[in-house]
Amino acid sequence: MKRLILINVLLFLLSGCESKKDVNKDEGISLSKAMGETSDSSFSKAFEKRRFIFPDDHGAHPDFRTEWWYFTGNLTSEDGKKFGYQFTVFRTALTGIPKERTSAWSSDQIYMSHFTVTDISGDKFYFDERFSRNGNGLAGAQINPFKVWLEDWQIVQSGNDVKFDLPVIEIKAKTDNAEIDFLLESAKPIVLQGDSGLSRKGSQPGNASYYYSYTKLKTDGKIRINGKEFVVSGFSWMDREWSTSALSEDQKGWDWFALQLDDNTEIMYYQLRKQDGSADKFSKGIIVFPNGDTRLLINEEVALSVTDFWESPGRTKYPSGWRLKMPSENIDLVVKPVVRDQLLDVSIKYWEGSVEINGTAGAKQVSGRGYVELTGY
Amino acid sequence: MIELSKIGKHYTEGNTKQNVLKDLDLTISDGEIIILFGKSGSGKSTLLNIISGIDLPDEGSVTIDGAKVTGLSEKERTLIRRNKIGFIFQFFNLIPTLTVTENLQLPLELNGIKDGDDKITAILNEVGLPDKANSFPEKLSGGEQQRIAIARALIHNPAIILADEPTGNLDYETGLQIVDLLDRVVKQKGKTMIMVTHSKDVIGLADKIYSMKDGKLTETLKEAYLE
Amino acid sequence: MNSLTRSSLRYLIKHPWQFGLSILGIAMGVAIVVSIDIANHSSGKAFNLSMNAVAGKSTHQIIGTSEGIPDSIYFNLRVRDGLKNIAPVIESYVSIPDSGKKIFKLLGVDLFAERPFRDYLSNTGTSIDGELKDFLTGPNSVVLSNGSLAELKMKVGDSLKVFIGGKERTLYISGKITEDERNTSTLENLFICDIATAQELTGKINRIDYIDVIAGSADEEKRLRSILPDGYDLQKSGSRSQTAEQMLEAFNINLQSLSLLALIVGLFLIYNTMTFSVVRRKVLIGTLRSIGVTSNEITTMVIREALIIGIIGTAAGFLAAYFISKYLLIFISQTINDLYYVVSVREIYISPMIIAKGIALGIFATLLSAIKPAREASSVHPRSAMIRSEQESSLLKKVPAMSITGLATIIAGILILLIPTKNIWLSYFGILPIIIGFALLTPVIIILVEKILSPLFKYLFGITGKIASRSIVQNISRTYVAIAALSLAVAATVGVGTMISSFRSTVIDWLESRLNADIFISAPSLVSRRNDAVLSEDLLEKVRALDEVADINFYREIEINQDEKTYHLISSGISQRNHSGFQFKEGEPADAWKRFEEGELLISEPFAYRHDLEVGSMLALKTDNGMREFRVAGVYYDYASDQGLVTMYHTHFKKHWNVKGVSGISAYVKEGFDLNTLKEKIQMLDTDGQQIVVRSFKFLRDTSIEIFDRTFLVAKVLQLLSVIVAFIGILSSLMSLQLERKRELGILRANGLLPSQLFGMVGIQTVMMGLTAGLLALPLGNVLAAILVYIINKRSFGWTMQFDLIPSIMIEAILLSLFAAILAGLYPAYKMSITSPANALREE
Repeated sequence: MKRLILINVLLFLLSGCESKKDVNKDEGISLSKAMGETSDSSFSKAFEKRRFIFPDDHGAHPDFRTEWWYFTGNLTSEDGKKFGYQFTVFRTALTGIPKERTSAWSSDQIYMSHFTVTDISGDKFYFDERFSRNGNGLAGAQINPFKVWLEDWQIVQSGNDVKFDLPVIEIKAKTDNAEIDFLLESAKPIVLQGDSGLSRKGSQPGNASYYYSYTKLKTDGKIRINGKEFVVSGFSWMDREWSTSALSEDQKGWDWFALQLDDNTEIMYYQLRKQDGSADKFSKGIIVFPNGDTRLLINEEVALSVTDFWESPGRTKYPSGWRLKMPSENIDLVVKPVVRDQLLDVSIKYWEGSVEINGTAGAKQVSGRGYVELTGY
Repeated sequence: MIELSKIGKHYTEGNTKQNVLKDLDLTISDGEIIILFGKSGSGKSTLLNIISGIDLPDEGSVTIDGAKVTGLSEKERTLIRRNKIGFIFQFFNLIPTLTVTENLQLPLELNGIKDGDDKITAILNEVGLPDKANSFPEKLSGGEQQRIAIARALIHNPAIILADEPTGNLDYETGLQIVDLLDRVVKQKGKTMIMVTHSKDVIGLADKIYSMKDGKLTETLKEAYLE
Repeated sequence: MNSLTRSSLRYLIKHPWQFGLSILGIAMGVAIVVSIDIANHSSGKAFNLSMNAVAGKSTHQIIGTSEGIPDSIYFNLRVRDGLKNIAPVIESYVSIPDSGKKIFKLLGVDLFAERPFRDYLSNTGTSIDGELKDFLTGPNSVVLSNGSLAELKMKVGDSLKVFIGGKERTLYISGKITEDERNTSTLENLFICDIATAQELTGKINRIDYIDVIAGSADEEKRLRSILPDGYDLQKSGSRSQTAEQMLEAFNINLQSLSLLALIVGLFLIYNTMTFSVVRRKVLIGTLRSIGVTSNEITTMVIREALIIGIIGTAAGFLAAYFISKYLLIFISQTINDLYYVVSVREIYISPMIIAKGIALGIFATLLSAIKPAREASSVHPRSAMIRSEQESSLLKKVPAMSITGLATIIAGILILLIPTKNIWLSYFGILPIIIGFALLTPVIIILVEKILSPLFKYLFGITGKIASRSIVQNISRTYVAIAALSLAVAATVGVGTMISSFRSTVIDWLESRLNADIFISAPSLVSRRNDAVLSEDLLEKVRALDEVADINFYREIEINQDEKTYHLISSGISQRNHSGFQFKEGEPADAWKRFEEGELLISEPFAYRHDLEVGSMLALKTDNGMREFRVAGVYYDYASDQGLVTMYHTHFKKHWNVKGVSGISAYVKEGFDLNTLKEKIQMLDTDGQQIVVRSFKFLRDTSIEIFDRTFLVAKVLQLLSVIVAFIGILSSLMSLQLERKRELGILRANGLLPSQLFGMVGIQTVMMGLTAGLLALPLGNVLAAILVYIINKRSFGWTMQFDLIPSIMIEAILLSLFAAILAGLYPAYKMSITSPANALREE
């Protein structure tokens, strides 16, 4: 369960308070407000496990209120410069029952996309945000060939190769300063999160999502920053999730970790924070072993402590360094942002950035790279 | 001192040229009072106008205190008039829209004299109308208006007074009072005055008397009128 | 304050009637000029605001062909070419039948592309409430400003029946925009809806009207141009406002000129009053001069007095203008809506420019008219102090010279008018010398009239009659100004009236020959002159197929935007029967029709004039396939549009423009069939929800004439106001005149003239003056009319009109001036007759 984007965000956008001058807080809009329960009963909900069918489930599920295609990754250029990126396409349905309309522009599906590049060596963070509708072909998701796009920010199938049910895909996006063009190919099988892909977020039935990941995608391509091009390679992480769920009233936000260790192990862990700051029992994670086997991590197995803080220009305090211990797996990691300021100053403000990892797994020293997301601060 | 030398003035009406003044010489010393007699249209008023610079002669020159008026521009002549000459008219010609005080202020202002209140009070006393200071001219009788007009002519202390039939529009009694006033405020103060008149009652004031005929002046002995 | 100033101020106060009337004259003149200015400015401003509301921060618009821009073009620019700062727009008009025919603008936008463009959607203090879901998923959802909601007495969640493009729609109010003070006026006329909703409401499926663009630099602009496919243009934002301004230019100038006429009359009035006040104060001025006041100081004094009148008059004029302009605005915006474009003006806008202009005009006019009196005052000889009362300095001697100057001035005016120019101001400027020339000829005409009337009056009224008529001539330096002012005002009435009548009969002749069909079908339209709503071509065929129909004409009008200009192109499906309805100015009809059917153009006279075209000229038009050149085959007389029309045969039109639908259909009834049956049958046709208006020839003609009359209502109002100014003028001068003659009249009374006789005498005098003014106004008025018809209208709008002498207008003119004069003379006559002779004889 990650980043939900709701109608309220858009409403908020239009109400105009998004102007940076007017909001002196990091948080553009209260997360719990944005993620409030919908009263619209027309949407489908994730009540029970499902059989995932591919490539169909790579496409959109418009009867669910929210859905995303989420890519993060860490790359290194030929001359050793390090980069991170995030490219996400969010879909929000305005209604579960589409109306018959004649205009090609008519749309009950809104798309939002976030795109960031972290120039680790240059200590710079670039981000941008877009909105559109799925009317008139401006944004959308399709299966054959696989394509998810918001205007010219696109995830498109490249050729006919399919690895672990996922076609080889190309990701293209650009802002005024930064531009990416990558080919992604999965190096590990699909990972079904939660209980065979059903990820519970709270105690109410249906407050759950369908959630799968590709935790290691071999990534090659180009990054262009301020006109300068770098040929890069590395690994990405892809999350797919759809739901009609909402944050419970006592939940405030979450801290999410996607860590790729150099021993070919990946760890995902999210901790739902309650209003009082404590961890919710629905917090969970997964460990993906080199052979592709996985094991669910429950809240009690993970001890997460914050070792450092960073204060944003808007005077919000974000954690900026962690100790992650998993005694059951004998893992002890120190996680540190590679650039302190990786705050997405967009409609919903949140911190999401590239991190570096050092620590021990069993007796061995491990290191790695990953992404952390902090919301609800 | 006023010197008129070889003054000539003529008007053209249709094709006939009519000489009003012809080869006229006249010298008036400071403090002298001159009275001009003559029939209507004999050129008396024209002569006054020429002395005051209101009109220019066709020939000859006018010199006042050594300055040759006839060579000056209209504006310069106006300024000399403003400064050196006081006018008294037959029809008084007070400014109807100004009160007595304001009428008296006007020449002071024109000469750039400020704080003339004392002068106004003094002169109103002299002409015997201290209680009329705030009246408008239309509320005054003819004699009173002429007294104010005389006060106006004198207030800025000009050296020369030009009077055009000052009693001509007044009854006999009132005329005598005006003559009396002129005697006090002009003659006894040593000012030069040139007066055009038909009235013989003013002769007592005169130092010299001229009568005008055919554009020429003839001096008449004062005694000839005082039988 | 010095005594001189005090004296002159007291003079003004002591003559409240004269100066009050002068102030009134200037006030009226200024009020008329300023209110016309305000009304023009306000309508322009309202239009610009609605344009700005729509244009937002866009620097350019991508405009397409006549049918707008297909969705796919926008898709390509946004998705394929990755352009970010572009936004699709659909514009239309919403008329609300239940609310006194209020008209709003419908703006269809894509909220997701809007952020950089329209700040009212994201300004602080502005907020949209209500469900975004409803806004986007509709159907027929709109949001309105709070103000508009209040105006319509609606609230969020209500439904509203409206007409859009002639079709009835039910809109759902899904939200409201809370405006702040900066954008209140921007938002008040807007219905905002989603672009999809707009497509559905307007029937513009798969296309948008234009694309807003923010191109920050010349490079971006260049890049954009290089991307755009053929047939699409990048035009600067604001060029639509400019086009609108150009459209109204001639209309505005003509209104302004008419308003200046009132000011000129007011100017005469001041001249008259000031001259008078100087003449009356000759002795006083002489006295001042002899006690040493310089002539410059006298000039200053008179100018200052005039300035006081000017300032008070101008200030009062502004106050009056504020109120008058509200009424004028109703007329003017009605005319704009009738003839040009949809504009809804709810507010008065005053610009610093208008204030500056009004002040300049008021003060300048006053000073101008005071120059001569001031010079007269400064030339008052000090000698004047010596004499009892200055007699009328005989103007009579100057009459021959004045008359010659007058004639020369008129000739100069004619020469100016003969300069071949399209500059309307220059043309109006040429009228001025003619007016002045006539004024200079007034004295000689007064003398002539007196010579003729004097014996008559003596015969009729005895010695009083003789004195009455003589005194007009004796006091000619004053009487002539009053008479000239009145005759000028009356002449203006004659001129404008005759022009309008001539124009009207030209238009009626034209309508009657052009509208030779029996029945006319169109969609209801917001702009009366043209049909912005479209009928389907199916309907055309259905009408053609009716048994009762012998033949039909049809047309489709489109706007072509090219070179920052708007051309009105008519695709004409004209039948042979209607050929006779076209009168050709250029081109041999048979040949022109033949060539027309082969694809050449017929253009209307105003179009030919505006664009300097004649038979054989080539005209390049932006077709859907790019620019194409067409030859002009004929120029026809047409009074439908001052912008001009280009007509093309429909089969050829179809080759170049992919435009569907027709704007209007007219049908001829087959012989032996009943017109009303046909009308009913047409109204019964299935129009797929499209409202149609079926009108008979007579009805259409009458509505057209109604619009025509409405258009000239402002002119008539202005004309009336000028007469009022003139009336004030003659009242003021007659009063001055009689006051001046107080003594003379006193003597007459003393010698036994009865008050009633005196009243009669003054009365006779005013009648004579009125009559003279009226007689003088006839030639001047008709000359003005001829200038308006042959020069001003021709140069402003490019159309040829017939010129008629209208006896009724001339008779009215004489009656008008008589009436004005008598009315103006009543009070002075009464006043003089009750004055005791003793008072009159007393020294003033």
